[in-house]
Amino acid sequence: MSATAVKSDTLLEVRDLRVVYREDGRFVPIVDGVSFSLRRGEALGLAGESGCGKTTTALALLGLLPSGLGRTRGEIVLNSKRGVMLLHRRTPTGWRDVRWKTASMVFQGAMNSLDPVMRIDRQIAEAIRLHEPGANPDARVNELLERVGIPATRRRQYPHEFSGGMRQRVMIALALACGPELMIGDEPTTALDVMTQGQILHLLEELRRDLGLALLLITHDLSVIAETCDRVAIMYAGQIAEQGPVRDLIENPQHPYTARLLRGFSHIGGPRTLGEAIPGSPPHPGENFPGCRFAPRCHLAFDDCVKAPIPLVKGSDGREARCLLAKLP
Amino acid sequence: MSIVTNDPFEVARRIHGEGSGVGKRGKQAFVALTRTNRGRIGLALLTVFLIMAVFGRALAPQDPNAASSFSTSAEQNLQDPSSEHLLGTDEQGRDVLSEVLYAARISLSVGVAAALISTILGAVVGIVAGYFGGWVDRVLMAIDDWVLVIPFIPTAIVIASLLGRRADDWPLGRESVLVLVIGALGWAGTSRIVRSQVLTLKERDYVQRARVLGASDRTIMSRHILPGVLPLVLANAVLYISVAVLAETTLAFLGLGDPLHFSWGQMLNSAYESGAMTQAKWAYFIPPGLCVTLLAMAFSLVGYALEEIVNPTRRQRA
Amino acid sequence: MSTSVATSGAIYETRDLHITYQRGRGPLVRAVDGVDLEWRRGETLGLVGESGCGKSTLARALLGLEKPSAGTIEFDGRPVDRDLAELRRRVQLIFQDPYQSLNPRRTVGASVQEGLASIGIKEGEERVHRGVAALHDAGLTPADRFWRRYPHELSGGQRQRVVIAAALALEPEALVCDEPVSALDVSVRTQVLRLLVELRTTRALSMLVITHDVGMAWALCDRVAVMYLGRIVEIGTTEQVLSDPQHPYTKALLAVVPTIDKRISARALLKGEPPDATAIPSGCRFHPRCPVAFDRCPTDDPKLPEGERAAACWLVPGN
Repeated sequence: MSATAVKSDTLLEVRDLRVVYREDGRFVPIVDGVSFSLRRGEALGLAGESGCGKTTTALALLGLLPSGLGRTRGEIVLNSKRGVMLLHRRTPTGWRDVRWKTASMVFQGAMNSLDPVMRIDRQIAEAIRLHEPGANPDARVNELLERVGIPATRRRQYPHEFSGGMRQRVMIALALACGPELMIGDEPTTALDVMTQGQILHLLEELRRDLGLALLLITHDLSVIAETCDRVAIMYAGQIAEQGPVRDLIENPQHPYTARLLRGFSHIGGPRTLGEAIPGSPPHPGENFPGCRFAPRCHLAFDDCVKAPIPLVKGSDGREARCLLAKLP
Repeated sequence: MSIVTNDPFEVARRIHGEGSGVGKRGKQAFVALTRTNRGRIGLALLTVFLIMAVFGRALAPQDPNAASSFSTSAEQNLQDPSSEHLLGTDEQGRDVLSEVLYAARISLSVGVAAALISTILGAVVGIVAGYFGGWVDRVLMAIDDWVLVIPFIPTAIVIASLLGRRADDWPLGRESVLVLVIGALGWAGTSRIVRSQVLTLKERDYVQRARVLGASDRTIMSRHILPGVLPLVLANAVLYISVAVLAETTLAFLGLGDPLHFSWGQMLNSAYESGAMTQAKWAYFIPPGLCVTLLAMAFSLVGYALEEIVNPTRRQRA
Repeated sequence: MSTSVATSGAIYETRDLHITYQRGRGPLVRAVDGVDLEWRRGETLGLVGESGCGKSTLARALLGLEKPSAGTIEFDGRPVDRDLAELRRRVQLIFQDPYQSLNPRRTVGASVQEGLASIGIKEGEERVHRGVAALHDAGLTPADRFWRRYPHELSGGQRQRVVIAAALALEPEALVCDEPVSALDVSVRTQVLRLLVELRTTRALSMLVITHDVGMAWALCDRVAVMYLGRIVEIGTTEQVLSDPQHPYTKALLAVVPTIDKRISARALLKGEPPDATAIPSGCRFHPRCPVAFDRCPTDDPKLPEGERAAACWLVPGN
């Protein structure tokens, strides 16, 4: 019944995703009711700090969570060209159809997970053969490497002969190997220089344009999201604090956390001051909050904030904010 | 529940007045040890041997060194197990069981003492070489290479025979010589491992900061480097005890031990020399051999379990 | 023209500093390749550049943690290697990674007292008192709640505060901060930066801030020096360098840094690979990636001119 409710240009719809880990006999919710959707060719940024659950969310989408450690609930619907896939019901063998062919992922620090004793063209070829047995990958490998900007002369080199940025391009080529419709990037540029980061982000933008690829970009860096994404969801303590089109959210934040984060950026040419600090630290997963999870650190908190869980206030154009003070048309 | 005053003097007084809390780590290590099967078996065996070593002399039915234990007639020698002598008698009529119990202390002491010497030597060399680098490192490692290559048994035999006679008055008699030899030849491996670890630790931010904060080399080595290598050294030491026990047994079997301070190895030597082995007097030589094996195994198991704990792949959660 | 150090009010002055090292039998790494820098008393000087440009190596040399291969470093008029103990009482260091900066086996209390022995304060109540005062100044109050904790029990921001407290306990005149907040959570960064700013005022500290975050340099620094491949390529006041850059590298750096108010622009991207200190290009070291390089650039190496405002580029008028 959920499948029919998905609009045709929506590629991914996540409804009320919950991931709970079992730790020392307690159940710790890492992701606590997260919902968002992604249209074809769109770029959604998932922003947040340590402990907010963004990486766990991404892993849950591809069924990559360590098994036996907890439970996952909620619905993940992938509306691919090859049919509607209910990811939350996938069996282990069922995932093979999804992973890499429909959705793939570039992990954090991925550039260090290339096999050091295998040439890069062989590594990509191997990935292709794994997912499409019987295919002849050579032509496609060359095409992929060209698309990510690795010159033909370097295709038979080993990973250690490349810089971090180039290796990240190889990882992106790997992620594109089977023609997915969705690519998830978990902090793809965090370990890179600012210049190289610019190149990689530009590459991702090009790929989106040329291939119609949808992108889920996970990062703590709001400025990266501002530059590359269409929409953004800000996560805090396992929930979505605020969501919406990037420009709208940046110009008109409705959640105090977002507002304070944005004010922390110093613009060159603007006043040479530091913004207001947010006191305290991000909460540990599993901390108990009777009401709003951000209330202990919020400068606008009042009595009702700590009484009961805060509902999501919804506005137009996918705009949402989980705050009693939010005003959305 | 601290009182709310933030006055630095008050706070300082509070802190200074209270003691310090140490020993939590020892407990953690113990708990971790008992979690693995290896650790549990090793600890159980160790406990048994420890009891043997400490209380053996009280538990033994006879004192093998006392004149009364020796036989008065030949038929009492090399007897098979009986109700009176559970493991039979040796070639001089003494109760084998008592001998096994008495020897526990010597075998254990020699193993531990030798391991202690070699570990301390190895750790010091490793820390100094690793921390200072340069020519100090090169010289020490050259010596280390040399010691690593020396063939153990022939050298031990030579040194022990040369020194043997002079050691009769020493605390453990000729066994002391064995302690020295095993200790002096065994440090080279430890120092290499320690040195590698020190090289890593040296580059850590907190060591660099300590230098910036004005700490002397000695302070840095004792406060930052040493605690960093201690777990590794400990695990290594425990493993080495089993090596030392086996080495002592070998050397004693070859006749370099001390009949007055006998160990299990010494017992094996006596058994061999007296022909008990050819006469298939199992109860005489199997128990000491078994004890050596089990003791070595016990230390190995505990040592491996400790090493797993010490291994940096086990990170603590923030 | 550099006058005698005592009158120019400089804490540090380096002249033609070179730091070269070799990893095993590999190629020579020219980490710092001819740097003339003056860090003035009372100022917050920013050292901006990407990884591999030599900024961290330079900072470590100032603290006596690296030996210069050529050139001089003077602290308060005296060469750095002469009186290291004295130097270390007056200049302290904050590292980037709060997770590595503290010995995991020592308590907060032990770590914060660490430097006090070297300034002659014996163990006892006075040492504890100083440590407590430092922790309070660093915002960790009441100190006894943290004293017996181990680093892994604290958050990143708290750990960084312990590092700051340990530095403060020696009452230094100057603080070298190497990426002080880049390893911290975003919502915590401003807290720690504000702490540094406050301490700077209350204790009249001179600061050297090393960072790749130009926004932070904008907010924090009085002057900024931009480094590329072991050299300073541009220097001036913060406003001059960051809002009116002259050197093509500075321009490219500022253009490519993502900000929340603009979209990605392909024109901003430099071609080529990040710089490699083992293979420094001939002539102007930036020329292979420079969008406006011309025929002089591969052959002539532009040195950074003297003066308050300077850029090492042939296209800058006056060079």
